[in-house]
Amino acid sequence: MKKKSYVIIGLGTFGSSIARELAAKGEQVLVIDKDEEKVQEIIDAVTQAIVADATDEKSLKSLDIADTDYAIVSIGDNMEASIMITLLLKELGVKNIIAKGLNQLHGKVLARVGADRIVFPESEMAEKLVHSLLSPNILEEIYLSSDYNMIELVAPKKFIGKNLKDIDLRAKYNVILIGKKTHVPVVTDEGESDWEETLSIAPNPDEEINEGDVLIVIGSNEKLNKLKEEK
Amino acid sequence: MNEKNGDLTNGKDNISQEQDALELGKFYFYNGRYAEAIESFNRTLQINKNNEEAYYNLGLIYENQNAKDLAQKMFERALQINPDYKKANQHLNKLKGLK
Repeated sequence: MKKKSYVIIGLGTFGSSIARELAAKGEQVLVIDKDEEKVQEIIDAVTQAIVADATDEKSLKSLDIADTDYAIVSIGDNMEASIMITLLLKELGVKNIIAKGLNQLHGKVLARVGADRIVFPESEMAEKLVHSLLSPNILEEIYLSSDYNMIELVAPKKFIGKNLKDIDLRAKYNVILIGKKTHVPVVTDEGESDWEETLSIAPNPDEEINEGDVLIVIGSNEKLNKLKEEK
Repeated sequence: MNEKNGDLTNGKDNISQEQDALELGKFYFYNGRYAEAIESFNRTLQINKNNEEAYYNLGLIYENQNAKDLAQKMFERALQINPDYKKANQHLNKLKGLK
């Protein structure tokens, strides 16, 4: 598959993390920031790093980035700048613009001026943290549709020692078990104990649930809530 | 060195008792007998409260039970005793959400 190209404008924590991660995965990454120090810091980790003021139309045009697959506007401290840059990118014809929103209203404006996707890293992470504090047994939750979710659930104590056939998630809870993570105790070459995580997809109904197992389950929110309540 | 008394024979016994309890704990751990493992590691600590490996192993078991606070305490204790304990550090970082 052809490698995609990414332009990231704004090297705050968010922008830098994205740039480094994409570059580390072998993608083509061009970063732009008006702060020379920030650009210098990241220059060796990415494909290209340029000092420029992206709010300046002439400067932005001269960088010739219209054909990039994705442009990410990750400016966290200046709403005006992020709106202007998004607008300019749209006018240049950039096909996929992702912008960081500082609040919902800002997000709406970004969408209006041409952003294809808005992300709210702080509030999204806050939501995730709240969920993990309120439901520490749910390790991950993925939204599938307005009614259905997929969750990674630490196996409730009452399931331990039973096999999947007996627990019968489908009949008793109306949810589908699609995978199970197990932690196998191991001893390293140095004689140290540790865990090795294994994942089995569509596990065998004869498989037993062990302490520490994580169940990957899909179901309606209503049914999942019942399962989440089991201790 | 045995701090409890100066008798050399007793000192040896204590150390070997400590080692035995630790090895037994690791044996139970490896065989998935976690309740017994916990007992053995606790016994190890009764003999020598500064056995970092016992704390580390207890941390592993509590981590698996999703008893994060307890697991964290155990790894921190292991690191207090041995600040270079790589695996304890790895697991502690993971619990804290650090890479």
